[in-house]
Amino acid sequence: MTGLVAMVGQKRRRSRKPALMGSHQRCWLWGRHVVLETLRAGRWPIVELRIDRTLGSVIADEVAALAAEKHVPVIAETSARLAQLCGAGDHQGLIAKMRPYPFWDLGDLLASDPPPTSLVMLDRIQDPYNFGAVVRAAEVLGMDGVIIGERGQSDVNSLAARSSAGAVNVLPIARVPDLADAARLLRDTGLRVLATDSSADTPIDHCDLTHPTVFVIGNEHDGVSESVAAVCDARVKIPQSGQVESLNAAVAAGILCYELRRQRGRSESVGGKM
Amino acid sequence: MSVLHLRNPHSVLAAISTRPQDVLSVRANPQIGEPAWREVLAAAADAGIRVQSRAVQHRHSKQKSAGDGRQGAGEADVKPRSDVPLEELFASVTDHGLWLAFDHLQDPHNVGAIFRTAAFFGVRGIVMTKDRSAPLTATVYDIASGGIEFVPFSVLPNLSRALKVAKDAGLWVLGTSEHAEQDVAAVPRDRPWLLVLGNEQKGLRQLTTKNCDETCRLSPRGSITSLNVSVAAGILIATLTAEPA
Repeated sequence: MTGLVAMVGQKRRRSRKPALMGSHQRCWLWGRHVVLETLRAGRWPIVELRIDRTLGSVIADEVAALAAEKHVPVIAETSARLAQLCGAGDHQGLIAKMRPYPFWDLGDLLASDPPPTSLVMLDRIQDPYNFGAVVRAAEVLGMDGVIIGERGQSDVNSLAARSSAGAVNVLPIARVPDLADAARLLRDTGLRVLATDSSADTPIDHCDLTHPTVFVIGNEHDGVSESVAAVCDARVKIPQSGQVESLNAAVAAGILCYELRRQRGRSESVGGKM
Repeated sequence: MSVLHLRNPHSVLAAISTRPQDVLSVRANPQIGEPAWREVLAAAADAGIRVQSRAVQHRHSKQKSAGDGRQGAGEADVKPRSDVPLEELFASVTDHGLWLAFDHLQDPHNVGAIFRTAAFFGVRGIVMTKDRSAPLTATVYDIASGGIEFVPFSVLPNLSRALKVAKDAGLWVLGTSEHAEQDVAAVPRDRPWLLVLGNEQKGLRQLTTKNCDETCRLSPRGSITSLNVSVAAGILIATLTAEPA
């Protein structure tokens, strides 16, 4: 599948410079809300902002003030030039040239204080909308982080950032070279790693999720890969009662994380993390 | 009647298995070797549907792929599924079960994902409004991944009337609000529910909320508005269709 790179803000027209994502060094983030939120969060480094020179002064002043505070240069452009740069028409007058997304190191994530007790591992979620929606659900439902692999996985790009409603700026996301190795490390660290599999025998509400838990959610085409599932503690399913056999990845993530919260809410004291 | 060009092999397979007469033709490139499309080709041949084994040139190649990036190996021309009258949608109401109503849901991704979830959990029917709602386009069918074929639906001009008909048929109307007192897990399971799902930005309209018999929320409070509508709907549907503890 070559669509992943093509869906990112790649230049459509020829240019003397090499395409931005070609080197995977930088990409464009577009859309007023997600750009401002990313700028405010200050986690994902921004090289420069380009703003539509005809934008109203209220917004332009807000952008200028925030950019000055964060030491990010702002360049005024025509709206058409913005569309040309980011490769999308729905930029709402504000785009940002991004440095690579600052993924967490898994070891650092596991060593953080307090240590993570609820994680989501994604095994090749290719669609940036699904990826972003999973991150959003995980963040809202209080999970401690998301782990992704390097191959066959959507990058954190503009579409994923927008679909995450900014959660990529808040929730730790770790990227690892090999998911099976990472699953082994998680087990060795004392987390229970659960592979979701529609043909599993154990329904999720029959699992004790009050232990530190990792949910592994697989590619929608072929599920969790066998090499990863083989090192998991158990295979679990969301019980199906209708005729369609699988759920959207973000919906599945939402149901799993909600069940975990529900179980822990029951065992936590009132006024706890919930 | 317009024809939909479906590109997700799972939405095509579901249409072939439920209403083969509406599947006009299937085109797929057998060289791609995509197992799901091979299954489509076999099912279509069995059902006597016109099959063309050749490379597919998508009419709208710039249109973004719906769902999970599986599209591209094939395409099928399928007539839209017909909606059913409201009375028929509620004809099978018994002492339990779940129906859904969309209160101006506008994002085709959400509508498709909710149909898929509804079909996964055996939701009995869906009520949608004609105006200010996402129409059931090919994108919605493909995101639903077959879900539209398994859940009957009614398309109506007016949601308030639908809620009244539902109540007359014996359904209880359940709204969602982050201000609700009871968590969805506390909603009694001894009766049939019509769950109303609100618009992406505005939630339920006031008029709709007034028509609800009860409202519920997710915990933590506030998550129902900060979650994507289709994810929140998934949690609500999963909870309301689970076997009571």
